[in-house]
Amino acid sequence: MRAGFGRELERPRNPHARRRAIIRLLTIGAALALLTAAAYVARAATSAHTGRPILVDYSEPRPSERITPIMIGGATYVSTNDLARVFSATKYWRPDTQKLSLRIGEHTIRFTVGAPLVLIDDEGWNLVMPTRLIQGIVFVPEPVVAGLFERGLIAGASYDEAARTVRFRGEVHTVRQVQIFPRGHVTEISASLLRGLPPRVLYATPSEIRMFFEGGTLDTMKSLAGGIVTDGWVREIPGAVDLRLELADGAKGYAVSVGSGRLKVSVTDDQGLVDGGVFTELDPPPIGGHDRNVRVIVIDPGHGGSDKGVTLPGGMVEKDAALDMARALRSALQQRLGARVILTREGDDDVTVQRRAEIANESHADLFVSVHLDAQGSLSGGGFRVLTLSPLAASSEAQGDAIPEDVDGVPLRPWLGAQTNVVGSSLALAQAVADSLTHAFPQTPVTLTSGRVRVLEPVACPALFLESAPAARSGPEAMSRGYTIYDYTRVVSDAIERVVRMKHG
Amino acid sequence: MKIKPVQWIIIGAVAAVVLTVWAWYAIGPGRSTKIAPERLTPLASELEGIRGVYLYYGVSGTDSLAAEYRDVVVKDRPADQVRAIYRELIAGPTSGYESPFPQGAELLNAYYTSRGALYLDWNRTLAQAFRGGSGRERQLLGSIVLTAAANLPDVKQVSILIEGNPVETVGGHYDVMTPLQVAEWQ
Repeated sequence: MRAGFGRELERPRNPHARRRAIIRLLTIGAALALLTAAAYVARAATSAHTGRPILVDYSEPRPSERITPIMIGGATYVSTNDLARVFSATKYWRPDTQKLSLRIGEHTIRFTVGAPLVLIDDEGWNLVMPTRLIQGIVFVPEPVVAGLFERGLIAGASYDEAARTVRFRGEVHTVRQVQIFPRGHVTEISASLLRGLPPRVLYATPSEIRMFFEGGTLDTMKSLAGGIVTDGWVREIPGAVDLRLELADGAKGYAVSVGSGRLKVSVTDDQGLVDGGVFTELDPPPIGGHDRNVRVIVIDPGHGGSDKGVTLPGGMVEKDAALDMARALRSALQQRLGARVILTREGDDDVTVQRRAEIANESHADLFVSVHLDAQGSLSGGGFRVLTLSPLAASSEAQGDAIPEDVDGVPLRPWLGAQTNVVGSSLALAQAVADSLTHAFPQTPVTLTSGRVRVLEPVACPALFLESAPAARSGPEAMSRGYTIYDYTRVVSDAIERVVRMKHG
Repeated sequence: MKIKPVQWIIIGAVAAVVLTVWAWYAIGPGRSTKIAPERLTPLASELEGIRGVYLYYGVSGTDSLAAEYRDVVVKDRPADQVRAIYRELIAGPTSGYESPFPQGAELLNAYYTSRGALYLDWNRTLAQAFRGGSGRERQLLGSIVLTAAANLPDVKQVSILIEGNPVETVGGHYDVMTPLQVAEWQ
C-alpha cells in the first residue's frame, strides 16, 4: 500500500500537462468570448429598440401625439401605419411584389420591402437604408419624414427636424388681445383685428350688448368686467367670435369703430354723449313692433300624432308632455302680457314643421315659442336647453336667397330667411330666459345654444325653442333639481315679460 | 469510457455558452419591448388600401362628441372611401362612447363633387327609428359632418338625403333641407 501510495506521490509529472491545461482553458475562454461577440453582433443586426419619439402637434381640436420610431441595425425607422395616420394617407399593399403605396392627397409614395429606393409620383429617391417588413408592418427609414416635407407633399404642416416635431398649422387668429379700459363715463373694449373683420351687432339693449365676428377666431377666451360693464366675455364659437357685455343700470349708449386693425367698442352712461350723436342709444329689443305691444303669441307644442318624440322617465311621451307644458305657458303669458295665445296644435295632431311656422306667420305673431322635452345627453339628470336660430345660419340663408323685388312696399324674404331680421331679438330673449333659469334653478344645468332649428327658420317674429327635462325623481339630484312644470313656466314667462317690458336706457 | 475532470469542465463551458446564447435571444433584455405598435393592421388585397380615420361619437351624459381612431379598409375611388368610412361609423364605437345612429340605419349611396359638396343618401330607418331630443339629433348630425370634415378635407358642406329625397329634419329639430356647412359644426 505504502509503495503504491509512494508511487502515486512519486509519479513523475508530465512537463507538458500544465501547458496543455492552460491551452485548453485559454481555448475555452476564447471560444466563449467569440460566441458572445457573435451573439451580440447578430442581435444588434436583427433586433429593434425604440428611438427618440417624434412629437406630432395637430392644430385644435385634435390632441397632439408621439410616434415612436424603432432602431434596426443602427438606423431609425418609422412605421408606415404612423405615417398614414398622421398625414391622413391611404395605404395600399401588394403582397406578391412586397410593395406598399401611401396616397397622400394627389401624391403617391411607393416603397418596396428590402429596397433602399422610394418612388414619389414615379420619381426615384434613394434612401440608403432599405425598407423593412416586421410583424406585418412596413417600416421606412426616418429620413422619409423630412423628405416628404422637403418635397412639398404635406400641406398645412411643417417638420422641425432638430426638435423632432411635426407641427400642423392652426388658423391665424383674427381677433386678438381683447382688453377692457374703464375711463370715467366711458368704458372701452379694444381688440386687435386681422383683415379688419367687422363685428355684427346682434343686439344692444340697456342691459347688454352682443356682437359676432363672423368667420373669426380668437386667441384667448376672456372674462370682461370693469366700469359700466358689470360682466361679460369674449369667446370662440363654431364659425364666429362671440362678444357679450352685461351693462350696469344707467348705461345709455354705445359706439363701435374699426380702423387700422383695431376694434373699439365703447359704452357710456352719459346721456349728453348720446344726444350729441357720438354714441348710439341703447334700445330694448323690438318685440311686439315699434309700439312694443305684444298682441299675438304662438306656442308650438313639439311633435304630435304619429311623431311621439322621446319617451320620458315614467313612460310619458314627449308629445303629450309638450302639450301640457304649452297649455301651462299659455295661461302664464295670457295673464302677464294680456296677449292672444295660439297653440299650433290643440290635441294629438300631426302637424308638419312647415305648418307650425305658417301658423305663426299667418297670425302675425309677435312672439313664437316652441316647447319640447328631452331626457337624454346633458338633460339625462334634468335641466333646460334654450335654442335660437344660429345668427350665422340666418345670415348665410339671407345672403343666398335674397329676392330684391317687393310687393306693395313689403320686401319679399325667402321663406327660410324670415328669422334673419329678428335673430338678434330672439337671441336677447333666449339669453334672458337662460339667465333666469340659471338664477332660479342654480343646481340644474342650463344650456343656451344656437343652430339651424328648422321650425324657427321661417318664423318672421322673435322665436325661441325651449327644451326641458323632467326633474330628477330619485337619487341625490332629486333635492337640488326639484321643480315642477309650473315653476318652469313661471320662470320662462317672467323672463319674457321682463324683456318685453324693458325700457330705454 | 471514463470522462476526465477537464473534459467535464469543457462540456460544462460549452453548455453554459449554448444556454447563454439561447437565453440572450429568448428572454434577454429588450425582448419584452414591442418593436411594433399593438395595432396590427390586416394586409388587404391589392385592390384595397388601409386608411386611418377619425370617427365621431357621442360622449355619454353630454351633448358633445369625441373622435375615435380606426383603421379602415378602403377602395381607391373617393365615393367608395366615403361609403367605407360611414359604414365603419355606423358600426358603432369600440370605446365607451355612444353611437347616435338608430339601429338599422344604413348609408345607401354617397356622392362627392369636386366643389366640396358631399351628398349622403341614407335609408328611411335613419329618420324613422331616430328617437331623441335636439341634443341627440345635434350629436347625430355632428357625427356625420365632423367625420366628413376629419377624413375628407375637401368637403365644405354635407347634404343629407333619405332614399334619394331631401327631408326637412331627421328627428324633428334641425334643418337638413339645406346643406350642413362644415365650418358651422367644427
